Amino acid sequence: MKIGLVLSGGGAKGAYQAGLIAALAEHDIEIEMISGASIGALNGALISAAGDISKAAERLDKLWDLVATKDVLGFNPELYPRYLSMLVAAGLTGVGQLGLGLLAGWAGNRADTGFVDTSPLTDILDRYLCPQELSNGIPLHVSLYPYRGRLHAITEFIKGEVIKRFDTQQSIFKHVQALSPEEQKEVLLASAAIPVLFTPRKVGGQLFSDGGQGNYKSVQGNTPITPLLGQGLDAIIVSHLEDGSLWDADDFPDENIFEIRPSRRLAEKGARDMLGFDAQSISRWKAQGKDDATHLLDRLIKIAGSRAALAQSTSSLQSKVNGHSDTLQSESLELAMKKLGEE
Amino acid sequence: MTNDVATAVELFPALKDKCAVKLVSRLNNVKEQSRVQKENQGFFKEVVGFFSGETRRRQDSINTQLTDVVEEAIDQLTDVMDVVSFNNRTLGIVVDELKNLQNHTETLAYQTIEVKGRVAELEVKVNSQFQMLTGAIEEIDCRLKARQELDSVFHKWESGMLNPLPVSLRGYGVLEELWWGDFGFYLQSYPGQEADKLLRYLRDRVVARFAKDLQIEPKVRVPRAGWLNQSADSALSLSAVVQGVDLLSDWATEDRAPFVSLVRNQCAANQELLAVPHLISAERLGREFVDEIFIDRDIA
Repeated sequence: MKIGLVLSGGGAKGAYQAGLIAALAEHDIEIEMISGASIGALNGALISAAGDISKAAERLDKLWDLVATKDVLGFNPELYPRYLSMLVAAGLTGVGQLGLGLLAGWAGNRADTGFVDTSPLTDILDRYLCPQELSNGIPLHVSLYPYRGRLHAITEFIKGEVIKRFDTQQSIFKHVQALSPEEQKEVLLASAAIPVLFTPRKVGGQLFSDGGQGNYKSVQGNTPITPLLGQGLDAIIVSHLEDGSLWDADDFPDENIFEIRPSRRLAEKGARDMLGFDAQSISRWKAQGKDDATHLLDRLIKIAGSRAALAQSTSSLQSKVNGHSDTLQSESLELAMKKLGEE
Repeated sequence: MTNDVATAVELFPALKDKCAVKLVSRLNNVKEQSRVQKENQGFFKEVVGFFSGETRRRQDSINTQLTDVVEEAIDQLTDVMDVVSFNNRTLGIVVDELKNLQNHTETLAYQTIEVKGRVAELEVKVNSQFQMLTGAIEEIDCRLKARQELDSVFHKWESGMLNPLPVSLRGYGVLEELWWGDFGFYLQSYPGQEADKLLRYLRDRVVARFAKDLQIEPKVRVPRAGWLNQSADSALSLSAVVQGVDLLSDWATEDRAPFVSLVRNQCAANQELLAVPHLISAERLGREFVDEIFIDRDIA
């Protein structure tokens, strides 16, 4: 059975996906192919490198526990806003968060080096993200958004995320395992590099930024199912991190899509919650991700089990009854009874 | 039943059941969108939602997915109703057949009772026949033994072992031996035609033997002495035989068994018996001995 996994972007709410993966591991659901955007791309990279779902669940759990630790984030106050920006990257919604993002970006831009090389989070990621393992890991695709300058990026952001009346262009997708180790790192960074806040990354001679920006209206970039279409997957599990995402499974009628959406509001504290620095929020999101996925999977198993049992029992009954159409009488018995009557 | 349901049988891993996935997933989506719609209250949010068209899109999404869920549920309901109607029809057929089987069972039960009665009758008959057969075999066995004994005893007589005795005593002795042996047992146990035939045979052989011992014709009458006296060359003392004869013939009375009494008296006191003629043929003595010892004998 081939299962695909789509991990949407959503900043610190990516902890929700750690819980989701734990639930998949408990149900022994192995993943054959992954596609991620922003924080989803980073989580996807860890899952890909882990190789199997149990190991992936274990690593994600540890990673997000470390991310939730204040010491880790407070290790280098200068890098704090950059990490903040990274987490916010694909999950920004609403005008109120724009200023905060710009502020974080402004602070972050003071540092010249990228977060993967210098931030405490990068150290953690490096610890769990072995380039060799990633190269040999589960196929991973990440979404990227072509970068055309800071002004264009701001315009696109306001059009799609704030006004929501106009759409942005489509994101493109890169197959991580098809790239060199250096390009793999760049691609992962680019996928989470919110424009303005982060320096865009160059992959194959072209600049890219956060893949979550593509087609705001249909959420094409932030819920990147496109690379998994037509791959012969039996089912595709889609993880959403945005409350009430308008991504529509009906746009892909040929695929068997199982969406896992938050049952309760993820960002209860608004922008502060979106940043997700406190251990309490990360723990809550992890728990919610696991609960939501477990609830839906158990429900699915129950319904599918009942349907299978119904179909099996009906098929069994049909095979026994069909040959006799309207009667179950045994001809040999009737003949014997007739002879008995004659005697 | 749709192909989709049939497919679910072989593709159990729940995620492969597209229909179940669609139902669970869409219903969950509707719940989430409804929740978000409800949470997006407040003047500013409503204005932004209206202006951006997000509220309408969300509502469209809820409507579409609800429609999908309802359609899927109706399909499922149709499948279930088809299955239920099929099951009911099958149940009807099963009930019909059950009634049919009940009728057959009732018929078989009556037949069994009848057969059981017949078997009981047959058993009685077979037992009776078996007993008859057993009796017949026992009778044949006894008759064979009687015949063998007869031949054996006469062989002894014919061989000359009894020659030292008077001729009448030879016959008496032989007949007494037969009475107390298998021959006598057969005659007493199985009286009838076969016994009568055997007695006639015995009578003929005794008569023939008497005639041969005296070298006369069976109907030629001989004085008593010829029957009662020992041959001249016999060295046997009769006194040794007297006790035995007396004991063996204690049942014989002069009125019911005069000829046996003659032999007894001859041995004891040689008294005169009026019921016995002075001239006796082998045929007469043989016949009277057999009748007195085997027919008229008072066995009480």
